[in-house]
Amino acid sequence: MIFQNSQINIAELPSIDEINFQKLDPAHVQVKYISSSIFFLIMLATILYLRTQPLIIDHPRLGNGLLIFWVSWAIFSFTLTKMGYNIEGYALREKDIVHIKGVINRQQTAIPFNRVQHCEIKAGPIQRFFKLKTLEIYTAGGNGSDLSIDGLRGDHAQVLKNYIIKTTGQSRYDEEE
Amino acid sequence: MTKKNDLDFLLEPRRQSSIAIFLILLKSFRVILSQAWPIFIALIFNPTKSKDTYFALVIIGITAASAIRSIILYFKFYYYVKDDELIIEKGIFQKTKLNVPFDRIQTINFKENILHQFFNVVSLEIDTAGSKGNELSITALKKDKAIAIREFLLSQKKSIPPILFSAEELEEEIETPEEELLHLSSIDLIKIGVSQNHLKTAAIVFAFMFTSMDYIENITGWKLEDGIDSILGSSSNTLLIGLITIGPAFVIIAFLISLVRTVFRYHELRFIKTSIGFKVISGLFTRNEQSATIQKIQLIRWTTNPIKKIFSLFDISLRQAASTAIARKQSIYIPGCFEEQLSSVRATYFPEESQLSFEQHVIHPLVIYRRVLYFGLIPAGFFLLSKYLENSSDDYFWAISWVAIVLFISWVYQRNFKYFVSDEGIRISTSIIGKTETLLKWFKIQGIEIQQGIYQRRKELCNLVFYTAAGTVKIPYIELKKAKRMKNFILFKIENSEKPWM
Repeated sequence: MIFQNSQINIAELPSIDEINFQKLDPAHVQVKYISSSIFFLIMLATILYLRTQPLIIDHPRLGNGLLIFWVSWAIFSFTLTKMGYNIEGYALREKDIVHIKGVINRQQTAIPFNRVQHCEIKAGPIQRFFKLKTLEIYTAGGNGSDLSIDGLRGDHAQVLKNYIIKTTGQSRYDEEE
Repeated sequence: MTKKNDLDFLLEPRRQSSIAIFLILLKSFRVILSQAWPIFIALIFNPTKSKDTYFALVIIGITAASAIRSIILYFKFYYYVKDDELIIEKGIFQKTKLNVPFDRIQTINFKENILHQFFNVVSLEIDTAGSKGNELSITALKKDKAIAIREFLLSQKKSIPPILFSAEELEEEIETPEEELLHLSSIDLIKIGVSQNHLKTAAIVFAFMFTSMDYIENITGWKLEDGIDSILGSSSNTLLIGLITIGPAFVIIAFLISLVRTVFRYHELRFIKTSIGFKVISGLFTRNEQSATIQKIQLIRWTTNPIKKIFSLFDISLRQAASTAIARKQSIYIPGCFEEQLSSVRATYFPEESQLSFEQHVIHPLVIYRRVLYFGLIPAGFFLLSKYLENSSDDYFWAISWVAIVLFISWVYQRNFKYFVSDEGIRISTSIIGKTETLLKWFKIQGIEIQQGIYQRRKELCNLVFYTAAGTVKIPYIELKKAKRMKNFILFKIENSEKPWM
């Protein structure tokens, strides 16, 4: 191996600003809407049941308060889902993958392929109905640096995974030479 | 290659041994029991209040549900080998497919408890140094199959070189003798015991007493709180009197506890440098030995506090790569050592450190206002609001002094937070009372994150987070431009690094 240590000009380094983030499949929003609808319906049922209980009949304000709380939380959650969809995205580059998400607190995570430990494809019941998959990318860096990209079309997730696995293998062989 | 035929079973999806159903069931019981033990204890000790039939129904329900779950889990669990990956498929509602390339496997462990031994099965655990503990685990496998799988995986791993040390390096290890860096004397030990963080121990003791008080009261029916109240008297200044009387008592108890603990745990501590890493041996009753190879060390961190400074002591931890569950056990910790040992450790982990030029940076002063808002103003606001609702509004003094203290601490924090950037790594120095320094080489980083809250987005600031296999390192409130530049540079360094990070 030839020892290389050429000087690097920081301005010429590939920058993350210049990448265009790929959006998730539009059906992903529907999956999220449905799963939160289920959650909120269960919550509504619980609230309605509680309203028939003597404690709340005695204190009508409490019952109304619960309903208002339910409505505002639901609106908040649905808005966040929509806004989140507009923000969330990923970019596959030659040597790393970058993922951006978060409406209130925004996180932009970059994982170099030569640090990927393994990949997983997951799909919940609702996701399966819309033929969507979640790709999870694990590193050795703990929960924070593990990426989970929701809302990928089935074949797309597989292609991404194959690409990443192939590239991690590639960089390993590079190291050995 | 005679084994080839034995391993054919790996090529198609297989279920584990049927004993697994039973073992999964037992495990879920253990989890339930460990979560709900106070309830059980309360019920046993307090039979008059329990509604026997209701209780029995709940138990039967939980048992039935767990049993069904274990059976389904068993039937939905497959393992097999495809290309150069071990694959596991599992899950009832959330279906999961786990692929682990052979060369990512770090350790393969068998676990056997009495039950396993009785049924002649083992549990196979494969650690990949990822984040979820033992990433792959197969609850029960017939012993011969498990041995076959382990041998197969190990043979596959060996065909792909650099995970273990090569032969030459192993020979070197025999040649170079071990060098003892440090041997703590009894006087050193007392110094270390005296300079421990007693406030922390006091907080733990206090928290333990406080949380266990409820349980003890429930179970025995003693009225501890009333007792304390009658000692203190329930005047409006209970909090103040409580702090004045109990506070020092806790600190003295904590002081004694940490002194005794230090002497027992670090008795005759020897810190040794071997040719491949470091080793620490210590302990009075049980001798503990911890070792770390240089390659596995991800970052080093050392701290000092005002008392330690008098004795010119540091404590060092060498953080090794490990899954989060066992990370704490995996780091070598030396409770006290001197400048000489510290520089030896630094030179081993980061040989270029003394030659490189480091550029000093500070974090943005706006971090002070944020910290004052979150830790000072908001809590003080809630405190005043609750006092206002109680109609006793003479507590402004407490609120104001709290905010002032937080302001002062935040100011010190911002002023003392410095990070030093070089081409190969970073040193971060933080200090409020004690001083903590962290040394991290770029190529040990696994992932980088830029975090921005709403306020930070408006001010073009962000937090820069480095994820390593031995923990997270965070620089708060740095300018977005600077963070992006650093991120691009570090990614470049990682992606072009040919050294294995462990």
